Amino acid sequence: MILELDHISVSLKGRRILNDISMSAREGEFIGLIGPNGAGKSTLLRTAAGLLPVEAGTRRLAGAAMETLSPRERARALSYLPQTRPLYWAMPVRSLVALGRFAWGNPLTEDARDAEAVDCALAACGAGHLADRPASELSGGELSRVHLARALAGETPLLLADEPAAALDPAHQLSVMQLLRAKAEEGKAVIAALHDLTLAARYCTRIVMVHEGGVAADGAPKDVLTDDQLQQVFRIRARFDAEGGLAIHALEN
Amino acid sequence: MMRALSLNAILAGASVLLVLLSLFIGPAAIAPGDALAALFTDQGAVSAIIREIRLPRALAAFLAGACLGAAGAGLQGLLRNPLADPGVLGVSAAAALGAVIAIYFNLAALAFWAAPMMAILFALGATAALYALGAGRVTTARLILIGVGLSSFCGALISLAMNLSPNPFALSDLINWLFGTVANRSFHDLALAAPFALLGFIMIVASAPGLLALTLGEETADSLGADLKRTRALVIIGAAFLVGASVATAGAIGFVGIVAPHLVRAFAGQNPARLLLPSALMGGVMLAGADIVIRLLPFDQELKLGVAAALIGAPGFVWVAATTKRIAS
Repeated sequence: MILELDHISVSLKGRRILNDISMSAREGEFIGLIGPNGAGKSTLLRTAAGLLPVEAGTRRLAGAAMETLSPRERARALSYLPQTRPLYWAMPVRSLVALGRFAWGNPLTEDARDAEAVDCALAACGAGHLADRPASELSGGELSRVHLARALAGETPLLLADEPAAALDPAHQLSVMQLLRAKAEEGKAVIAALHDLTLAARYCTRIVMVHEGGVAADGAPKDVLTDDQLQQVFRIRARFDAEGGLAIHALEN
Repeated sequence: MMRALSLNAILAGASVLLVLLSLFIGPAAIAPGDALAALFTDQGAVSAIIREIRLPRALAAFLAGACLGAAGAGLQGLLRNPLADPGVLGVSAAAALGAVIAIYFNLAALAFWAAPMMAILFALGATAALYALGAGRVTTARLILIGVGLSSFCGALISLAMNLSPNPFALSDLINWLFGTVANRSFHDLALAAPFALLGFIMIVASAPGLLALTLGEETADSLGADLKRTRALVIIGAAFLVGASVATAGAIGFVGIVAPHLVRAFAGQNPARLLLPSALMGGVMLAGADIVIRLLPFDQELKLGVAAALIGAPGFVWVAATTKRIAS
């Protein structure tokens, strides 16, 4: 078990966002976190990444209590791709991706192992040709893939990604989902917050449905994306078609 | 990498050259050859002028500029804002207030080290206050706003002291601290400031990995394994030592902390970890050069170094503010 969250509660600015939530992830799983806006998906990812303090509950990362890990130890076990991805200083794409190697060796220099990981991550994200471009001049979609490459370059056993497919055109959305699925099949645990239920249903090995700071359902896509759950949580009607796709309709009020 | 290395080499060479050039300038007419001879061998009175008046002055200008350049580069990296500067955050004003208090209450007359020590203490106090008010996790905007308030408050207290100042000699001393000058500096003054400058520089350099990670924002930097608490503490305390040392050496001099890193970025790129050393050298070159220029100007009364820095630096500040593209999304 790479990640265990046990009865976690988190408040932000005095408001309870996560309420007694428990979930875990093991190697090889591609978990889709779904839920309406404001359900607590991003907070759950940030909590899992060790970036927020918990009010109650315990977090274990690769068997160790999260609080006992140094920032570097934590960063060698997980990488985190936030929803907003600021870039404050101009740098070439390759240097940005190399930041994913920060927790390995000397953060200010790149050794052969770092270079190999960076090249692999760039190639995996179809961004190899962008390596020498200034990151500040890329399109939104290109930048999105570069940031994903940064998260992969750390070669961590756990990847937490907040909306990794947002701002991408359909073809690139599919390739990102395929890539994450492939990484899970290679033995990584991947947890991604997703808004596109169709993509989640198609690529994730497991779906965790978050609703009002708690887990509404947790299991295989077919078991979670049921009529009842979707109606209650998302106010939509959806049906799996013959090929395993999902047809979605809004509920009429 | 190569460009950064050669930029450092060029700036270091320019620093040595300017310090040497500075030895040739002064009211006593000494030929350059004689000045160099007097620096390295004992030539009596000429050696006294070169070694005890001109050399400490040249080194003081370089040291003050280098401190401000390094502090500016560190603070800009921490706050991810090319306009961040010891002056903007109120640290310089607090240091100047410390010196002013020492002069106003005649502490400076009791011990030559009172004013510089008070400058360093107040710089530390100001950064500690910035840190405490922000309570660990502060947003950049809040920190800068607190700094603006702090700066105004220290400025008001300095004006009050000048307003109430009973004697004109104290007033002229106050003006030296406020406008900034390295005239009449001795090796005593340098020896007092240098340890703080060195300590501050070491702390700022130690923060380099954290500054690099902060390029992607605080949340990502945290997730990358950067120790942000340590990075904040190193930059804030390191900058306090640097600014205190600079104000103790030369009084309050503005804009070097903004302009020096900005000039370096044009040559060495924006990587905040690689800006620290060249920004320090650039700051030193700027003030060492400016101190030569003000002595060559044909005015009856020497232009204060801080006034010259502001005359060049303030338009530079506007230029940086107007041309900086905000690339953060």
